[in-house]
Amino acid sequence: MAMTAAKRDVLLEIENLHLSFGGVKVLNEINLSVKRGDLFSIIGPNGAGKTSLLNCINMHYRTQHGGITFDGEELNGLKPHAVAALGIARTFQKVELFQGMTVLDNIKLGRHFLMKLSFLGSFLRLPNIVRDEIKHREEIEAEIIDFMGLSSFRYSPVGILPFGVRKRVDMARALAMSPKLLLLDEIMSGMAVEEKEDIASYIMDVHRDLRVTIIWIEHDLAPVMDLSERVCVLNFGTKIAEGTPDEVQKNSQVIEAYLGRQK
Amino acid sequence: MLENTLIGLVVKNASEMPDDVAMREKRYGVWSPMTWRELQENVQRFALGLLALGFEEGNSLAIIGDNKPEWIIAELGSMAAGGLPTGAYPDSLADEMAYLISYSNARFLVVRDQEQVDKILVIWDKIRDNVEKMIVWDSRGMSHYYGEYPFLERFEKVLEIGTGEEQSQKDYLLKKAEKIDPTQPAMMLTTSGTTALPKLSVLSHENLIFSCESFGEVVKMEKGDEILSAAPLSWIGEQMFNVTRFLKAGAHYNFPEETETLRKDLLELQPFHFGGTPVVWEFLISTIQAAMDNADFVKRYFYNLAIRTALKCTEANLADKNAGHWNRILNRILSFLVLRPLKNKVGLGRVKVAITGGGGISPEVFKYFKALGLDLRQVFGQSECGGIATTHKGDDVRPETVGVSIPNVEVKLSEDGEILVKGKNVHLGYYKNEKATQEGFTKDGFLRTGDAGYFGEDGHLYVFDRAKDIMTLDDGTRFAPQDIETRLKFSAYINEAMICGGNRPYVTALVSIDLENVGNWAKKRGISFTTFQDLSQRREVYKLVQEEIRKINERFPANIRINRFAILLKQLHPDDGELTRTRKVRRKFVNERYNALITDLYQFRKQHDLDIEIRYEDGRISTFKGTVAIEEVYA
Repeated sequence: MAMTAAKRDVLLEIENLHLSFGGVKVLNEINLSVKRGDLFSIIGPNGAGKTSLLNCINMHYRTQHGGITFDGEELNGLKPHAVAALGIARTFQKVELFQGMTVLDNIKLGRHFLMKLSFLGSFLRLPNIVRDEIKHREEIEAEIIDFMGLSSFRYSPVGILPFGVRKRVDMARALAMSPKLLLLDEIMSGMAVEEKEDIASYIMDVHRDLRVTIIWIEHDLAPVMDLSERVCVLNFGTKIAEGTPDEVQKNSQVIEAYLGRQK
Repeated sequence: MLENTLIGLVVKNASEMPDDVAMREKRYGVWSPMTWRELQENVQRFALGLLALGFEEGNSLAIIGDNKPEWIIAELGSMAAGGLPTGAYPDSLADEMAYLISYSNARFLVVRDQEQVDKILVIWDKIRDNVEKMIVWDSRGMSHYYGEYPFLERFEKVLEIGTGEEQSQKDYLLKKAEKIDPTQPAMMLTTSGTTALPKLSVLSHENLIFSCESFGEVVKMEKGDEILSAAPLSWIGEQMFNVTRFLKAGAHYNFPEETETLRKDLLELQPFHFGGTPVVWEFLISTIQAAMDNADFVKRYFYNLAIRTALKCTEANLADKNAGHWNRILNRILSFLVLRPLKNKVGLGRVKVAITGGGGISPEVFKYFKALGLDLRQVFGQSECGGIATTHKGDDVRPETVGVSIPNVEVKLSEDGEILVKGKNVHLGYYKNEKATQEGFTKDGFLRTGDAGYFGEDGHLYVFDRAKDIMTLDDGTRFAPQDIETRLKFSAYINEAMICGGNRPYVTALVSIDLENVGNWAKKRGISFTTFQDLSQRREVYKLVQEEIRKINERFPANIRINRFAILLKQLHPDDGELTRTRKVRRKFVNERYNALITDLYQFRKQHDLDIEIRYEDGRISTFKGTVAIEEVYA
């Protein structure tokens, strides 16, 4: 079946998605489509279902209803690691890195599933395995460590680094998977203003120079409105608005969700 | 003939040892080499690329960025294109850059990355009439800039254009090298600017190569020696002692990955020659001391024992005395077991000769490194005399002096004690400032250094201080504030200090603490603090600094001891104009800014309400308020 031009432009399509835990409805009838090359943000108050939506996209949660299509493939029923292999990487709200391992090792782990490894080959350090390892190491150095400005922390254990840097390492680990789609889960939460400015410039660089499509969840409105191309607003598990930052800011439902109803 | 110009040296080395390593850069975590042939090619291509882009003979070019091989390629390339390169400190503020760019008439800029480009864009309107192109060597995260700003050009692109041009001018560099007159300008370097806005000193190929050869008779650099590019390239110290020397000797010139990785890179490389300003040496001591404070009891005990014994022996040696058998034997053993490994850990294990220059170093700091077993020597010089006029020779090293004049350079004193220098190392003059150039020379053609000093009986030169900075107390006692300051800064807890006392009844000090070391000290004692400002005003910290000052006071005659002091709420910083970019106190400026505080120091007040303007690194300005306590120092 030939895809139409419009369809080919779309990287991620979510149709009529429902998610509930027992009697609690978390997500209700969500429809989204993210174009290739978009910097797409999802915002909303606490408990609006933002992180749950991300967990659905990388199939960490099983949805009751509705389908997610990524790059022309149905994701429903796939395991999270299979989703990752398709090219979806993510960062976590509470940095999930190995504290005792170095920055470099953490990033290499992100690369792990792209490497051609075999138990015996690695054990014997066969030339093709060593070559493969060197090739990946070079790519990690040039495209990730240098790009994310982590060269001075290469051999530092993650546990001793400041929070802002850890988030950068988390992002670097996600980038090591060479993803088509990067999911950022509240990457700015808990950061100081300066760190926020820093990470914002890295998000822009990744989006622009590495041409990675990004879905960015954030609690803080200001940076989202400044940087994103499209914004979707969730409230109580329902999508209440979608559009450019300007359109969304003028939407009365959004204003109500963030500021409360005017009496 | 070729060895008389910097360009000639590149050509000569490239023909004599084309496949030997010339430079290395730590990039992507590995040291990647560039051979002499590649260096020559890059310099030639950059020169031809510049010319193709409209650069003309006699134009100037300003380079702004951290130490990287591209800096050297741009510098030598613009020289080869007949231009005059100059450099700005990468951490300069936008306004300082605007000043340098307009003053130097730079038509082309070569900058490192987005950080500098953003700074320049802020001042673009001020310099746009003059500057035509801005060449960027690290375009990370900048892909969208090139469409928006047509005057931006990628470094790689310039080399590419040059490669195209090369087809018709294969031997451009060789021909150029044969033509360049060594007595013509090679580069312009900023003067230190402790007293006024920096001037640009114009140095010829001959100046630099002469300094290098003359110093080479005292300290030889061999072919293949490893050196590390650590000091700013816009500073004469780096240009003379590293750039010119590496070209002359055919050494390996290594560039760190980032400024932040400098210490790790130093450790990995273990260079054969190392030089720095006193600030660098003080910093090294502070890190060693802080590390030792945190070490376990056994390590600390042996370190203290070793350094004490070594200091005893060093001091005895310097005074031509005998430290005694027992000390000598103990020193041998402990040096081998404790100090040698420590020196390796700092990255100075292979250093043959280390130099310090660019300001007075405290004798304590100097002796410490001698005790560590480092052949440290002082150099006295400035941009205007090719970076060097005097240095210590061989074993004739004395911590209080700057040694004797280097071969073929004449150093003498004027009637009022100013140090005068004559030789081929003396610069051609200040750029676009004929008046200052003439004022800078005496009638008989000696360069006025602006520093006061005297010759000791041993023939060594003693430098007081900037001649203008000598202070006189109300009772007529004359003293050099820098002497006291350098001793204060030797304390691990004091980062910067400024002494006041000119036309006042007694000596006082403004001190800024070392955040890391005082912070650690406070943590160990369970003293809680929030910010630098908070920490600086703790009673305990005042007690700590008071004790440090009291110890230092003992070394000075009673009438020039520090009587009262205040700890500043922030560190003195070049961005606030309080220090020069080479980290020297700009006395006049600090005096004006803290005038009210200094007045209160002499009024027996217990505290002062400070209200000053400060600048953040990105150029934002805000006011800064707080209460500063004033303490007395009892004998």
